[in-house]
Amino acid sequence: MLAFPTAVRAVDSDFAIDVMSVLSKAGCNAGACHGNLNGKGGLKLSLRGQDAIFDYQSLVLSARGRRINCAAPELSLLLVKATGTVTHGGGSRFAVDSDEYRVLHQWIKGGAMPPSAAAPRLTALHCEPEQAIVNAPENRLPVRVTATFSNGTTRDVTDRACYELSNLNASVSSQGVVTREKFGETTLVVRYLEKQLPISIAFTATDSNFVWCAPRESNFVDTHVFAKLKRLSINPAEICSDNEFVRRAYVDIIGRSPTAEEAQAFVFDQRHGKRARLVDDLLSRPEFADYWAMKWSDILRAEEKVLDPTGVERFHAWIRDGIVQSRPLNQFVSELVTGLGSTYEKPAANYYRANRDAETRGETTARLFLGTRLQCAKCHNHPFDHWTQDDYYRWSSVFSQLDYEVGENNRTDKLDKNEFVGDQIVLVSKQPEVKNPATGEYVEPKFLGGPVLPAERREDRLAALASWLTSPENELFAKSQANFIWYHLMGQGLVDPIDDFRLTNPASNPELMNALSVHFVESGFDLRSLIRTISNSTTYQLASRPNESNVDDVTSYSHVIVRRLPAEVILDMQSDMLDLPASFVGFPSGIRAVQVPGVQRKPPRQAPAESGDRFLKTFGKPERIMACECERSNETTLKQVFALVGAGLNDRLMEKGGLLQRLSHSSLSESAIVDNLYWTAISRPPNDAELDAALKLFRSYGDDREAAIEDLAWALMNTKEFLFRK
Amino acid sequence: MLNSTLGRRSMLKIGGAGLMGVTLQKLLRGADIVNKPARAKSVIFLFQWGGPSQLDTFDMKPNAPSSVRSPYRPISSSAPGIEVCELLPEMAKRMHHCTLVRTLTHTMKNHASAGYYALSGHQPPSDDQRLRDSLDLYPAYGSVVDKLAPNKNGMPTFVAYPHVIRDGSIVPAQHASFLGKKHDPLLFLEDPNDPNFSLPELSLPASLSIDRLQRRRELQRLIDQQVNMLDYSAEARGFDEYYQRAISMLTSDSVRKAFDLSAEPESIRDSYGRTTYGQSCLLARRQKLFAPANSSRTVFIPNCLLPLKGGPHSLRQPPSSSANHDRFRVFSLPIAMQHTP
Repeated sequence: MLAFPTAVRAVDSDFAIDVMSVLSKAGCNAGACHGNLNGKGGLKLSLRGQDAIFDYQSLVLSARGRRINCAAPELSLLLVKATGTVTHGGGSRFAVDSDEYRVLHQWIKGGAMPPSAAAPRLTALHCEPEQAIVNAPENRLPVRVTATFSNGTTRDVTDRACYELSNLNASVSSQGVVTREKFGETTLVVRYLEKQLPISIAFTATDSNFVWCAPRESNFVDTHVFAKLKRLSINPAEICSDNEFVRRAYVDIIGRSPTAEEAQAFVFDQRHGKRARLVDDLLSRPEFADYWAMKWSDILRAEEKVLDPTGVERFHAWIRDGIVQSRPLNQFVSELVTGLGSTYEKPAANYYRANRDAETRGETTARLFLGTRLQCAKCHNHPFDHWTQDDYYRWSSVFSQLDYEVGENNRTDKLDKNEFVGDQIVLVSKQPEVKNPATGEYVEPKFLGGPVLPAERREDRLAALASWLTSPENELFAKSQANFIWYHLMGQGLVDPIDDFRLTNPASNPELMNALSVHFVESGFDLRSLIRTISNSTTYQLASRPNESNVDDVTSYSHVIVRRLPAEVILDMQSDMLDLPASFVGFPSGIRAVQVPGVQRKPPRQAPAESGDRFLKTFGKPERIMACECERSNETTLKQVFALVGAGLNDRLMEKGGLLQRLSHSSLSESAIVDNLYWTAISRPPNDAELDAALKLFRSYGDDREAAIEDLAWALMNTKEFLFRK
Repeated sequence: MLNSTLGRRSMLKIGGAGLMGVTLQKLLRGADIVNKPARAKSVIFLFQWGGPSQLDTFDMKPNAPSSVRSPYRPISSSAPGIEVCELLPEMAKRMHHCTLVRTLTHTMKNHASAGYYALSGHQPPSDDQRLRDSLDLYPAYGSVVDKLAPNKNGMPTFVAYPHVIRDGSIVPAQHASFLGKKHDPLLFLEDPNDPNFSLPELSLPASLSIDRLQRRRELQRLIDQQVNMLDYSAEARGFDEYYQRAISMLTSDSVRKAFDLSAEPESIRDSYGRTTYGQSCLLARRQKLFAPANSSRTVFIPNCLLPLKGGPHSLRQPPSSSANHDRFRVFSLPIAMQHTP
């Protein structure tokens, strides 16, 4: 019993608990400081304190013990550096009279004892509240963090936990008080020792006059979206007009805008249920397969250097055929991850042709089909997720038994080590498992977050992988695929970025994420079914113009997100407007930009890029090097505007034989021409002011109708209604 | 600024003495010199992809064994203690204006990774020729400037020409990468030495008068006003602002002049040399001269392969081969001499 007080003090200054939490709290082991792969200023700590034994060695044993002075703790380099008493690259981290200082001082004074195996371990972390809505005028939310240890004790660690916010909607103090900076949502990640928890927080403006507008719920998408909006006192935007809807549905589902006739037929259709009918109609059109094949070709790296032009063509055709045939997405992915044989004859084998080593195959498969970013765990345990380096290499090991039978490489550029021209055969061959460089040991294959690959399935491990990966029980697979489709229709993933599913990056609407995923599994992983459900929801059909209550909302789908259309869609829309094809190197005239199977069919050394290729590059078509949706850019740049203002678009306007010239030579009246151009370009008629301005333009050119038509076409093709999806 | 009596070289010597307890800072404080960091107004970055090596320019190693040393002799220059290659007599006269850095080195063995290192300042994830240009790699210096200190005078902050550096694959760090495409350079690949050199992007097509362009813009604005998307979409508004900038650049005299090489007197053009490299350098200088008065920062990166016609392939010979040295003698070094400031 006499020993009891000492025991308490020992716990109080235990290395693994107290010292480690102080090092984290003070930021010493952050990636930019001593947690860096190479350390900083000669001292290296484990990143975010994931390895107490390593850190003990660094602080106490290395550098001949110069960092710790047990006889005079206050002179310890550790303390004089951290308080900024001597020059410290990281400045002063805490004051001499702080709690942090006291903990370290006490630990050193007690003999700087190493982490003890007998000391209690952290078993659970609990936060209060677990999620919160903070209504104005309240603008602060204090969080309380409690830790439970293996000896059954609990402790308030609010002062010791580390806090990080997912965005700048709020700020957080080191004491765990979150303060609103602006209205909106944020996620607070609470980290204490090796455990972390997310807290979703919404700051809302309470308006005592707020009246929920009770919009019509079309399906379960609306149920979940509206439930959240109501909770946050946000009214959704009004329903978009038919003119907006027809354009939106066309560009989202089939990657092109409606012709004047198509748009008019829809808008003037008086029958009930025309929106749902339009969606069904679009889903059965061949352009649907073109457009969605392009999306998968992006992320599956259908690119000529590595797959060669023949490989790209066959791979793309196989992807497109899967969409035409409504091949269930789980089957499509199964065929990819088991794709062996000649890359010309069995196109799915191009998946492994593009991903050439076990680590890359593991990373790509995790990112595309489990929505998980693993790269961090290659060099150290993942800082924001629970993946360890061991997980990374055991998952890589699943992909270790592949090899390539490579024929003669008829490279067009002898210096380009990435280029390979010719067929290849992807085959299973006996290879060592992957080695974990941290331990130097070969590791046994294990599915990511799943079971160890049983010994009897080692031989046909890819088949085992496929059935585990695409099984309806694998939540992450269904969710990540449903999120991918949601992202392409709504412009923002429920989990955003779409390849970053993790505890600390929760879905903006978890109930909807679950429901979409369940629906997707129940539909038999059917792409069209999910697109139909989303497109028929009121949520999808909301206007883009915000109202007073939802103007600050960016994560709850209260209004539609305005975004620039993809490069291919804009270029094809120009071609349709002018009725003149764009040109792409290596392809006969007439192919549409969304139909181009790869990136550039001939390398620049063989043939200079054509105007179409250049346009696509300028507008952010991906190079398809990364197996990541993030490679496609829908950002806007000055150069894009030059391509639209200067010679690029102007040359196309001047080309002979297209719609513009036909119109100018036609017997149509000038107002009929204006009407036609408006419907063709932006799916609506001109209003009076616009018609007046256009007719004035015609008058100013006198007899030169062609010039007036060119100017009007240019203006229409440069309006935001043409270039953006709203 | 440093006192002129305290030359750069003596400073370096004193700097070295820091090891013995006298720091340069203390000395400067003692000499009552305010140590203001120099700030560049504009930067012209000539990336010498395939250029002459240090062995043939500033470090001939005359005392090294014949298998190692340069075949050229060093000559003294206007900067005390600095010798340059005998083929650079003009350079030798101007060395006192230059800062020669001898300590820059790296351990890369491949062009792609070494090029990336030099263009980004960041160590590549692997020393591998297969290093590919992707968004997880660091951006070009110019893109960083464009992000942190963009030009506010209507001129582009970051212009790059007339090549994309590649050795097989494109070398990374020539664009904005993860900073976002809006910080990409205004890149053009037209050859400034071409007699018909012009920038189609920066010049209006012949059929399009300024007047007509304005008329089109007015009409575009009228249509945009009908749906008010510019009011509520920052994205759409941002894109619209680019029109303003692009049109003012297309119609502004200073921008057009800055890129109009034909306005340079023939004698000046000749003195820069009728090569892509020479005319590129002249163009860079011209841009600086024609930038509006309060021009802040402008970064140019003419990516020049020295033996331009042959491309990088003609550099394949081992550096010590006599063919290579002959090529330098007749081609690269005269060009370098002509354009080094």
